[in-house]
Amino acid sequence: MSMDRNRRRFIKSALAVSGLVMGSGCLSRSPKPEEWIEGGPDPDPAEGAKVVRTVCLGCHSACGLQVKVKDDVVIKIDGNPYHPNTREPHLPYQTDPKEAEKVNGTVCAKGGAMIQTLYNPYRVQHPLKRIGPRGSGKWKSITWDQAYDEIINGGNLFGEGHVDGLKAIRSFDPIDPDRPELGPKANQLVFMPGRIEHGRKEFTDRWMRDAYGTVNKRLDHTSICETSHHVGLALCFHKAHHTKPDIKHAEYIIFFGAAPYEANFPMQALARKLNFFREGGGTMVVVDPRFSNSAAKAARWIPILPGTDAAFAMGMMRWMIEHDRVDSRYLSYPNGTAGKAGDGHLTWSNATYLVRKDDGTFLREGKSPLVLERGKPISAEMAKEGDLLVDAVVNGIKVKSVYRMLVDRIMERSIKEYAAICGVEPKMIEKEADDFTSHGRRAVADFYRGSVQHTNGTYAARTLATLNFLIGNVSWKGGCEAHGGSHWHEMGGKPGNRYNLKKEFHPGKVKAEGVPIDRHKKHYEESADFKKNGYPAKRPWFPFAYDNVYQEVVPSIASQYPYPVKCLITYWNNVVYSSPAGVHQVALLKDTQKLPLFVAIDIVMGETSALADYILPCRHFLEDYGTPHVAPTILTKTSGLRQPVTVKPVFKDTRMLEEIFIDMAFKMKLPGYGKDGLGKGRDLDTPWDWYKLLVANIAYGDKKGHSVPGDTLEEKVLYVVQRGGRFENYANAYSDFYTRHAYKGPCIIYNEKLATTRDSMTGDLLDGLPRFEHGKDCRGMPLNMDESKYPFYAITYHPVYHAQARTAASSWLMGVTPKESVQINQADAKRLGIQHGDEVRVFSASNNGGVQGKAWVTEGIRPGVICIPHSLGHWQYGSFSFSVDGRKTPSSPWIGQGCSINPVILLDPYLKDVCLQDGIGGSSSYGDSRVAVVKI
Amino acid sequence: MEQKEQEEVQEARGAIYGFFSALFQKPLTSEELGRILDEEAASALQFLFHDCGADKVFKGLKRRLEKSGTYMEELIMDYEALFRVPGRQFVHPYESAYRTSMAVNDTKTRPVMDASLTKEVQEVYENEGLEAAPGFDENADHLAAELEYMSHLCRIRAAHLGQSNHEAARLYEKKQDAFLCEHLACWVDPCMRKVEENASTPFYRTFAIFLRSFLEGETGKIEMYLARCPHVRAVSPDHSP
Repeated sequence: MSMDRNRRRFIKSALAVSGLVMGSGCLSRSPKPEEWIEGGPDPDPAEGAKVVRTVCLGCHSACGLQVKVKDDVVIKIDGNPYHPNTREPHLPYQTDPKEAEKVNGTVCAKGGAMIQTLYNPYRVQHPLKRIGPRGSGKWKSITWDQAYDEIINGGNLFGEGHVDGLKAIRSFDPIDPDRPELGPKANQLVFMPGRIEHGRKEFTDRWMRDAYGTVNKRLDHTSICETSHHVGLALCFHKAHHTKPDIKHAEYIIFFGAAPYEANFPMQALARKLNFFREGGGTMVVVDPRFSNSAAKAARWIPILPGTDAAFAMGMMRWMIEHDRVDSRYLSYPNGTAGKAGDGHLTWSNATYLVRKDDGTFLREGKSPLVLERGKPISAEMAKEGDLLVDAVVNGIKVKSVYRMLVDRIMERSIKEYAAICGVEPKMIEKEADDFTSHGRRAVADFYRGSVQHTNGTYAARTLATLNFLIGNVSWKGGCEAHGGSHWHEMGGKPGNRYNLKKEFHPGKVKAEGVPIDRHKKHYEESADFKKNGYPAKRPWFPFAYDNVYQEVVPSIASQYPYPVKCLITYWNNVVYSSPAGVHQVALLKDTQKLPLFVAIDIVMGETSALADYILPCRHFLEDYGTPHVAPTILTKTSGLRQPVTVKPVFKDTRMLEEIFIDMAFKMKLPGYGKDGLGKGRDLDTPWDWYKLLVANIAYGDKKGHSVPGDTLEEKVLYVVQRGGRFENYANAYSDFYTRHAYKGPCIIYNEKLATTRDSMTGDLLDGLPRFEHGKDCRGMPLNMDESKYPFYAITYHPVYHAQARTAASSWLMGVTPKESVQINQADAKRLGIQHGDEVRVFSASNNGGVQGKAWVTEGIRPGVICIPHSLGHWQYGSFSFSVDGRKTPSSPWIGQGCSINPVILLDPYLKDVCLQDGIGGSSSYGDSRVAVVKI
Repeated sequence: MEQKEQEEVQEARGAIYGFFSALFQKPLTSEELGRILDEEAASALQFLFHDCGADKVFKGLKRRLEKSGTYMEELIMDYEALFRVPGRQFVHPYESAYRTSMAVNDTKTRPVMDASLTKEVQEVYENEGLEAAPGFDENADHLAAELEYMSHLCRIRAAHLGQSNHEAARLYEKKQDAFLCEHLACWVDPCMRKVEENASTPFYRTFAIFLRSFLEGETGKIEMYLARCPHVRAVSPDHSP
């Protein structure tokens, strides 16, 4: 064809195809003018801003922040690129800080929104004293001097009779001469922080325990978070209590009760690492009644019934044993030398140790446990390979090996029975057992809050940890990390540290002793009460509880057990809101006879602070100091530094927590404050006097010759300050086949201490082995929940854009929060006539009034389970007005949007004033309650 | 070429770009598929892409449609998997994904969406007085948007030619060449090769070949500019260039 005809045909054909497909169009005429407008763009508001590096406290991940401040106003929050939470790899530590300003790390929605909670107009701005009954919402503003004077000296403070102040309470006479183990009267001061982190908690410990003299130095929130995770793991390792997978090198990870893409910590780093993991072909499996963000990205979602994680794990173990997928070589190594020589392990297990059948202790020769090696008894420290399946008589004593006991325990139920407990198909257990054992040591079972906030929490933790022991993956690349990069020791005590604040720097310190009000770390059998009354104790004792049992504190105060308390000081505490069944503690806190003096140190009028006698307004974390640590997710040494980002506080009459305690110490003339307070020539007048010593220790490092650059102490401190902490370089995470800072120690399958301790309420011996048990009350009785009346399990979770109580104050975060908060399965909703968005009431046997919220109908939750996210449903916190100096304060109802699960969580039917709890670790139970739901 | 013909050629180019833009903007409806396979349209497409074996392809497509009751569903699923839902088949139909890459675990690369590149393209549209149409919620550097932009430039050039605004027409010729050289031609070829590789229906495989062929013809006359085309730029895992 000629050129012309081709062209014609081309044009005709092209026009013929036009209109075949009707797109809606991608582009349209812009209403904006087309011509360029003369003149430059608006000036960059961040230009000339000062950059301050600090650490976030939007949640507990402790991500580094790079905060831009202009004219002493915070204008932007980004991630600190030096900090390993926010960037991968993070900036080399030696990068010039000015150059580092050009680069941002990531910050999550919560961190970025903390700018709003800093400038929150509902912050308490002056010290307040109640002028009506507790909880009446009537306050007057007072001066700091008046607040200190009254709190310290007491008097007829409220027209209700005399109240002892801190001075009078501080006596070293015994509380009860007939029960000297309770300690001195100084113990009648209780300090109950909600969230308090490193650097600061050592400061307040020093004040409370070493200066004031109370053992109730710090009863913080951990038991409403995940303490049984820590306790369970502490009973599995030696001086380690937190594990995470080495995500970078793993090939398979099964998460129980964990939502690493939304919560856990550090969420940013976990989510990022899991993205790389999944891109590299890794298999992620999520075991959770709820179809979380994390489950949405998983290869498989396993919707077990709440509280049955240990049963699933034991089902896996049964399959592993039956199919010979256990690393029996690893389990046969009874000591570190044997493990290293045998297969290069850095850890070993007690699987071969011999346990006496008569009393549950290890069979010993002297102090050393015995094993059988080819049938002959030998010290575990000397053997090369112990016999695994032992059921014998040794030296006339009937014994079994730990592994024999474990196998017998696992074989008590079939896989079908385990699956029935979990409410899943047996093939789900088999599939995960198969996959878990198909990657050598590059497979990990990880767990967090969802698995352990049950009455069986500690046992669940130990069972899930044991899955890892059975494949010998601890401390290997791609395996279970039980140490992490850790941190430089800011309190000193290491050879390189400049100051040893643990041993020195407190002239005149006193010795605190006695039983803490929540009875943590104490044995009931050592008390006069036990000698007099035997079992059961009046309230549970928690000899294994990691730090404290938060939800027990107020009920124990109210029941004056084991002794009356005279003053409660809370800090960043919202126990009545954040605790399961915490609403029942409102009435307890209002009782001025049982609790004569209640001082809240808080940033807002929270639900708990609203019940106090005094509120002392403290600073926001962006105005504070601290040296928070990170989780073992981070494999390089990390010491973050929190420091004030502005020169002046947002509200000038607020004070740092340290300032408040220094002030009170001066007034009370407590030892260790003021001139020479930290030793000769070292005054303690300001918070920086304390923190500069901590930063110096970080700067000098733990080993001699490992300090940061700088010729003088001041230069070294500045080096750390400018970077927002000290951070080991990314390349140092590994060493050969292991993580660099690996755990080296025993993996404890059978815990002898646990097995030889009795439950304070039942007198029964606890179990030293992994174990599944159903929910129970403090007397060990099965939970008698009428399923026909309360057909749903109730669970909760922490959405990615919220954290605990504090994020509701951000309109940005509440703006992305769905109005619907009661998650219910579609089939359940249909049966109850509930549609998405309908108002529903959720109630339980412990709270018939219940809570009210909008239904969120979804397939993404297991039938028979209701879920309400945490952080919503405030009834104070700025959502409700109160009166100060006769004037009503403004409020914003949107802060109170949604509802909370906590008010409907079951009370222990025996104690009646506290939720169900794990009698070993002390975790409060969030997931053992049953509720009903009705459409309103 | 006569002015009138020039105008018509630009209209034709604009029509073809517009066709491909609409094709890759959303899944086809059954009416649209019917129109494409209709004799007249099929004949036009076969002429335009005869060097791609279009006649054989269209016969096969028609047979498939007649035989399979679920062919529409397959087409929709294929579109979603190729162009919408991140998964194994996803081709990342964005310029920035092909202009940057990131090493993953030191062994392979993956596409990276680069906001600065997307912004560059958006500014090109804005300078032309265009913005995202209501309902179009993709990035500015999406395949459909860039093809539509080229269609727009062709049609405006055609209009100027029709009104004898030669200077304006030349300006638009330069804009076309610049956009092809600096943007579209730099990435659509590898993107379409990926569609050919990943498509599970012959339909999208076929039209990927057609678009590649069309662009080869388009860029043939501006090879000298292509030599100056910005290369793929690698970014480090922390996204710094």
